[in-house]
Amino acid sequence: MTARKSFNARLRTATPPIVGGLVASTLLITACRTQSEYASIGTLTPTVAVGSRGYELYQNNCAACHGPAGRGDGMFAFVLNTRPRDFWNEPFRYVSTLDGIATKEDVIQSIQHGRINGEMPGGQWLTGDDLSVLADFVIELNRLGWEERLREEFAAEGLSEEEIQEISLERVTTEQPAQTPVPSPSFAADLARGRDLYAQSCASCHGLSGRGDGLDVPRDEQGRAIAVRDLANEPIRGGDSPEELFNRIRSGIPGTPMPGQPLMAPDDVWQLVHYTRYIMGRPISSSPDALLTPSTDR
Amino acid sequence: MRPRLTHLACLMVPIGLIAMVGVGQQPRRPSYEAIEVKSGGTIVGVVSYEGTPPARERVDVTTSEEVCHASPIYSDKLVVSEEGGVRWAVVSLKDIERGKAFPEPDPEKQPTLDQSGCVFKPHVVVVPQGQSLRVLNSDGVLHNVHTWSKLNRSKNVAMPGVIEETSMKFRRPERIRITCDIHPWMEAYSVVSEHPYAVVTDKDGRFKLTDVPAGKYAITMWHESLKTEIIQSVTVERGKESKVEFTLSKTAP
Ligand code: HEC
Ligand code: HEC
Repeated sequence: MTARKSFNARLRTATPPIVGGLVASTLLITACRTQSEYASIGTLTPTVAVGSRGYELYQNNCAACHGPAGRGDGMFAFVLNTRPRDFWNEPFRYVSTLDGIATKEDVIQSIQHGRINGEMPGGQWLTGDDLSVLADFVIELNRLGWEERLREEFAAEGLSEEEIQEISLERVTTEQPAQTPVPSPSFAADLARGRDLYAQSCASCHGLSGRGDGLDVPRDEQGRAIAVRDLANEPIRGGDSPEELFNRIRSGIPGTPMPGQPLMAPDDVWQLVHYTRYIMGRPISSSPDALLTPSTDR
Repeated sequence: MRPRLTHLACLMVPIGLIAMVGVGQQPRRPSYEAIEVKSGGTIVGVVSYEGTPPARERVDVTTSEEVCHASPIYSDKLVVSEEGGVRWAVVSLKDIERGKAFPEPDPEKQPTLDQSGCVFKPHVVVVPQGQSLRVLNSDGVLHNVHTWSKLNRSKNVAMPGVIEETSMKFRRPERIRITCDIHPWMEAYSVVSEHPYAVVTDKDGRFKLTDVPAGKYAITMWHESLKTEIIQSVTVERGKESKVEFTLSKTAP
């Protein structure tokens, strides 16, 4: 029926043989490289130590794409259309907080459901405990990345080891777990309002028609070219249910040009959720309740 | 189907590599203590450009043309006066432990960064640690205020034209680069300082630090074209004026 559904259906049958097979074979080839490279990546805390449960799970399920050490350079990475995340140097993008830092739950969501419509497969076979261990693992790599950069850049200027520890932890710990706010009772979808808000806050980058043609040479925080999403034709990577879109629009996409909208009233963000779905050619329901029931086309 | 990997073949990797982070013995950087400064000294000086400064670049305006084309935009990256003074350099006393307090926060004089004519004004703004930076949008078009902070949490906040003002707070002293992704030429620096002895050079490249307790200090000059700051030492005597000169050269580190 919808693109998402058929894709999910495809994914369910296609994932194990194709992705699983490739993952397994690349892992075998890189097995030894993996351990020595991994061990030389720098400081290893217990959460990510060689032989820890997180390490085992990560090497078995994730390293083929995300790289033996989590730097986004797995053997399989170059055949993907999207670069796997470099956990050391890039922030998590799919967050539900206003300070741009992923909660553990956000990370678990990404691992469990997969991202970018299946280029990162969903880990449906992982248990809740596996997911939790893996989330801790990648968050810790992210923190170690901060440690590494802070040490490189500021140790000579007198930043103490204690401060490096403190700041690196702060950079991966959110202070504002964002609850998805409930639309106000008087809320009703209003596409004219949505269009105005979109023109004010989104069109500069996404273009008035949503084609992603507003910016000249957008770059991510690593300085690499990044495309503004064509909302009319390209898939949404972080999930396209109303709640997920709400978070994406309100929190922005850390590490990319897309800003958060902390200054926008939540009901206006909901109007933008509707308008974005309208651009995507999705059904719009105007009742606030419909926004909160998980979308059926997932 | 769950791919398995046996690590057994590779167990030669010594377990000893699993090292806990040694929490360093280094002392924390001294934190600043505000005291009453009676008959301190003054440091004055200038930052000069060595050689012939390049002409200021005219920015190629590609987005929000109606607003941003209102008047030509010239890059603030390197602004040198006719006499060779470098504007927008930051001169600061390094690791000063004791000195005057910041002036009482005054709503009229709050550190402010305006987005006006698709330029951040001023290009460099000093923010006392603990105070907020007021951020304005006078353009009526969408800007996004994107900070590149490392010691402080990063922010990337949309400021649509209908929003004229917001504020940002940074906990730790840091020189923070701020950009706008929609207008890629827009760039500013917010210098969060622990103490009031941090100033931005004026259009002639001059600076002045007042009420400095007598003593010997490391004084630093930073300009965005430099990778690291330039450090000199300066001696301040009660009630006297000390002179310091910095040069910025094309080949500086
Ligand atoms: C087939 C390749 C592949 C495999 C296997 C894979 N990933 Fe990914 N992963 C990706 C890609 C590609 C992205 C980038 C997605 C994007 O930018 O939208 C990504 C992104 C992520 C993110 C970032 C989400 C965010 O908020 O930015 C996390 C976390 C993650 N993967 C964890 C894992 C974990 C844990 C595993 C193992 C269970 C795993 N991945 C296995 C390809 C893969
Ligand atoms: C400064 C430019 C910019 C602005 C302003 C902007 N976006 Fe984006 N947006 C981007 C970029 C770049 C991406 C692609 C990010 C990526 O690939 O990870 C993106 C991606 C998206 C996505 C896809 C998210 C996903 O999960 O894959 C949605 C939805 C979106 N934007 C909606 C909006 C809406 C609605 C607004 C207005 C409130 C908006 N954007 C404003 C630059 C922008």
